[in-house]
Amino acid sequence: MNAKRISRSDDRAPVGGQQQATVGPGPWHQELDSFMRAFSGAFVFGVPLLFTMEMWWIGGSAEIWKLLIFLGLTFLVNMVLSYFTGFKEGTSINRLIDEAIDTLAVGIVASTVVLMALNRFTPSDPLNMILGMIIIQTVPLSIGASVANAIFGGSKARDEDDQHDQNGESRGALWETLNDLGATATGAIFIGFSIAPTDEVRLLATEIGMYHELALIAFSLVVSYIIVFESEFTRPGVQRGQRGPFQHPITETFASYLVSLLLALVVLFLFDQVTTQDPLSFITSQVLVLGLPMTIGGAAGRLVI
Amino acid sequence: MSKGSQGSSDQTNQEAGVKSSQTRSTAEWVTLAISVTLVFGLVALTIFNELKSSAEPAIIGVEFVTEEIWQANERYYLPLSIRNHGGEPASDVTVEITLIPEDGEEQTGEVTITFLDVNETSSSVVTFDSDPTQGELSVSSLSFIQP
Repeated sequence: MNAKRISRSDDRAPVGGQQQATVGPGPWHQELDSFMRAFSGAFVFGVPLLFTMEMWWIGGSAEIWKLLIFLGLTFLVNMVLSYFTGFKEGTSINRLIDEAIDTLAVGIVASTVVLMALNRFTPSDPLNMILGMIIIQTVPLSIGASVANAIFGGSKARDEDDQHDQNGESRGALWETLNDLGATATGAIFIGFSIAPTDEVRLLATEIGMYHELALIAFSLVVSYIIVFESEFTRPGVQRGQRGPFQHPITETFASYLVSLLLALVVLFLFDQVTTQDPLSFITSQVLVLGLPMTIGGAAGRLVI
Repeated sequence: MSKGSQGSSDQTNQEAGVKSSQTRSTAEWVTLAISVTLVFGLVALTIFNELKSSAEPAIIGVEFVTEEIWQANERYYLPLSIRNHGGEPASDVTVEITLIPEDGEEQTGEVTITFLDVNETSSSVVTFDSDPTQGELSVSSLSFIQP
C-alpha cells in the first residue's frame, strides 16, 4: 500500500524514505481531504453498479429487514476494510467505528446525488422506493470509500516517472499531455467497456431531460476534478497542474472530459448502441450518460497509470 | 498489513500518529455528527416508512386522461395514468384498454410497465383510430408479476 501524501503526521505515512518533517494541513483541511478521498474511492468502485437497472429495482422491492441487514453488514465490512486501508487515520476501535459510519454517510450522499442526476428518482416518488434505492447503492459506494487508498495505490511505472521528474529531467509539456491523455483514455475505456453494451445507457438516455443533462455535465466535471486534484492522491514531489497547458487543473479536467465523451461516442458506436440513423439528441444523451462513468474511469486512470 | 503498521519504518512518526489518532479534532467531531445523523436518519426514516405502510398486495389503478388527448397522422393518442395503490410493488404490469366507438369496430391498445413501486404512478399512452371521447373506454385486462 502506498498512501501518496506528501507530509502528514499520521500512522499511515508513505513508506520509502522520502518522508519530510514538514507541518501538515490543518484539521479542517485534513478532514476535507479525507472525505474527498472517500468520495473518489466511492465513485470509482461503485459507478458500474449505479448504472445497473437491477440495482434500481431491487432497492424498490426489497424487504426492509433485508435492507437494514445490508446496511449492518456493510458497516462491519467497512470497519474491517478501514483497519487495512480506509480513508482516514488511526486503527483504534473508536476510529474504525467513526470511519465505518463516515463511509456509510459518504455512500448515502453519493448515491443520492448520482441517482437524482440520472433521474432515477425525484422527491415526488414513493419514499420506500427512494430509501430502498439509496440503501442498496450505499453498499458498494461505502465499500469503495473504505478502500479508497487501496484503489489508488501507486504504480511502479508512474513512481519511476515521478522520480524521473524529481531529478529535473522533465520530458516536456507535450509528453506529459500525451501521458495524461493516454491514461485518461485507458481508464475511461476500462470502465466504459463494462457499461456501454448494457441497456441501462439507452434507458437512462431516453428518460433524462435538458436539466439532467446539464447536471450530468457539471457532476462529471466536479467528480473528475475532485478525484485528481482534491483527493490528495498525488505522489511525493509531484505538483500536478504545473507542467504544460493540459496539466492546469481546469484545462486538464475539461480536456479529459472531452476525451471521455469522444471515447464514449466511439464505444457506443462500436457496440451498435448508436447509429448514424439515430436522432442527434438521443446520441448526445447517451454520450453524456456514458460520459459520467468514463470520466470517473479517466480520472482514476490518470492517478493509477 | 494494517494501516497502523505501514509506517513501521518511521517508528517515531508512527507513535506520534497513533497518539494523534486517539483524539478527535473539532472537524472530526463535526463530520462524525453529520455522518451519524445521515445514517441513523436513513435507518429511522426507513423503519418509520415501513411501519406506516399498508400490508396490502399491489393494487393497480388506471385513469384515462381524456382532457389531454391529441391527434396526429389520423391517430388519437390517449394518455393513461397507471398507479400502484397497494402495499407491494408490481413488475411487468400489462394493461389492455378497449375502446368501443359509437360507430365503428372495437379497438384495443396495450401498455406494459416494467416496474411499478408502491404509490408509484406511471404515465403511458395508447393510440386508437377513432376519437376515444366519442365512445366507451374500459380496462379489458390487467396483469402483473409479484416480484
